[in-house]
Amino acid sequence: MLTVLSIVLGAINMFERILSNDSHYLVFERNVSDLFFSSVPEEAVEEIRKLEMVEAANPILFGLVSTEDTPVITCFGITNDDPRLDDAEWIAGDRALFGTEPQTIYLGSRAAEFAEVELGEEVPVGNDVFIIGGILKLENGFENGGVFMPLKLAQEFFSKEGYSSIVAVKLTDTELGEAFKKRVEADYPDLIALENEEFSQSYSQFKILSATAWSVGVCAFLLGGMGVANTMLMSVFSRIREIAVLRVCGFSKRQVGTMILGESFILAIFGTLAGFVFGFIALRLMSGIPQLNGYIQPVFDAAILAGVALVAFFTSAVGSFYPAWRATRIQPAEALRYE
Amino acid sequence: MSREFENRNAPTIIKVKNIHKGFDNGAIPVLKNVTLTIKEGDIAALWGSSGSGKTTLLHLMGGLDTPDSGTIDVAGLDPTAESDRLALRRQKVGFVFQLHNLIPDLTLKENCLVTGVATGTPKSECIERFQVLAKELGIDHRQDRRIQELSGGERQRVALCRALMHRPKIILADEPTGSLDEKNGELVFEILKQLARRENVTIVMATHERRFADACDRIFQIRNGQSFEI
Repeated sequence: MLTVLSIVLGAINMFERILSNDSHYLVFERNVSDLFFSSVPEEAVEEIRKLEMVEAANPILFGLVSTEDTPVITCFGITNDDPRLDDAEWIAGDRALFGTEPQTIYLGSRAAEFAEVELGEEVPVGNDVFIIGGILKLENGFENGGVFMPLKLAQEFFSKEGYSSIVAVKLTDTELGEAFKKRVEADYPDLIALENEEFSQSYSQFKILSATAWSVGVCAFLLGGMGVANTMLMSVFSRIREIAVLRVCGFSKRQVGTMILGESFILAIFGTLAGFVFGFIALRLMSGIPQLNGYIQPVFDAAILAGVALVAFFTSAVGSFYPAWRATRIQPAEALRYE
Repeated sequence: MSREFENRNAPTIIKVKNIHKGFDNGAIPVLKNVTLTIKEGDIAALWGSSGSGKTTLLHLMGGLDTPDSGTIDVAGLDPTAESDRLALRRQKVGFVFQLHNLIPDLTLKENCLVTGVATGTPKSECIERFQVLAKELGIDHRQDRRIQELSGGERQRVALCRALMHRPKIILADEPTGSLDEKNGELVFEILKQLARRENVTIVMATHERRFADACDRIFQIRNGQSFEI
């Protein structure tokens, strides 16, 4: 469960950081199921830029491209003044030349490693061939495994001339957020402006991913619960005579039940700790696999760990209830005859 | 061995009256209208062949099983009543079994302290009692050994020690010598008798061996599901 949650929530976190890079608000098309389908017209971007309360507005066009070796690579169409170009470590190429040379694209370092390409090489992408103009090392796994194109080139490539997917907006003062939101929505009824945090909470894809992760995790725990129940039931059956002896020695039904529940909790504690350790190791190993293009950036926060521990204990309690009940029903005389 | 103890004036501690017990919903009758009384301090034998119902009668006295009909009074408690059973096992009765029924994962000492855990007796008190009994039974030097490391005779002495830990009034012993060789069987029986006399414990012992029955104060022969004092 920890592994699944960490991967999915890590992915959500990475995607949030792509969107919110040095910005306060995101502007995108209203009522789209996925940002890949959002279209914000260039005129809107220009008008937003001109607003007094806006310090910067950076359009981004998302797209998916494929190469011979990799069927799906995220492509980011960005402008020359996008802050991530300055934040990145340029392993190869010249930052100043971004967007000045024709048919030139820029690769995240993991994407370059995986494609085994170097600066100046030609790479086929989709039906076109591009020249590698630079290799960037970025903190974000999605970006590091992605392709960057100057916005105009991306618009041509994806046949979305004059549009971007979103606009990341940085305000002069965050207090002006509500005013900015109202202004955008008044001027462009087809667009919506959401504060980054608000966006993360309301974006349906994040909700689906998160719900899926929790569902898979809970299923994993139900299996775990059955495992605990099975283990404890086996333990009760194999110790039927021992339990009878305890009853003969004066143990009450409650004491026997408590003993079995206690053993289950100890099993749950060690199981949870072992799960944390193995999950952590698995995530570390997966995040180092080049084929995953660095997409896995696990997130371990206290809430996840506490949630997982809580579900583990709840599952073990439910899973051990039946074996404990069975143990209390053992009739000493009958059990002592049991071989 | 011979009968050596007269106990006529002692009060009755076990009263079994008109007990019927069968298995498979009464299809296999085991005890038929059994009535007997045992006095405080008696060392009584339930003697009979295998399958005669000795163990069943012992289990009924100890509240390990319930009769189909009839009444039982053991030290003022009713073993057939759920409410009395726990008190009976914790305060009045100690059990010794043919196969000793010790917990193999525990040490000799831990096995004996189990009763104290059940009753919530302070550990120091339990250990003090254990040390006295273990010394008398000659097993104190092996107290940290696991059960698998002990001989049959030692195991039965551990079972005896465990049964006496909570100072019961009655020991219900089911073929305590049955799994031992002649020498060890006699040794365990003698220890059982000596401790019973000193601690003023009543003993009810199921046995199929006439020589051990003859060494008891009273003999109840269990035959065809009925009891006859001989």
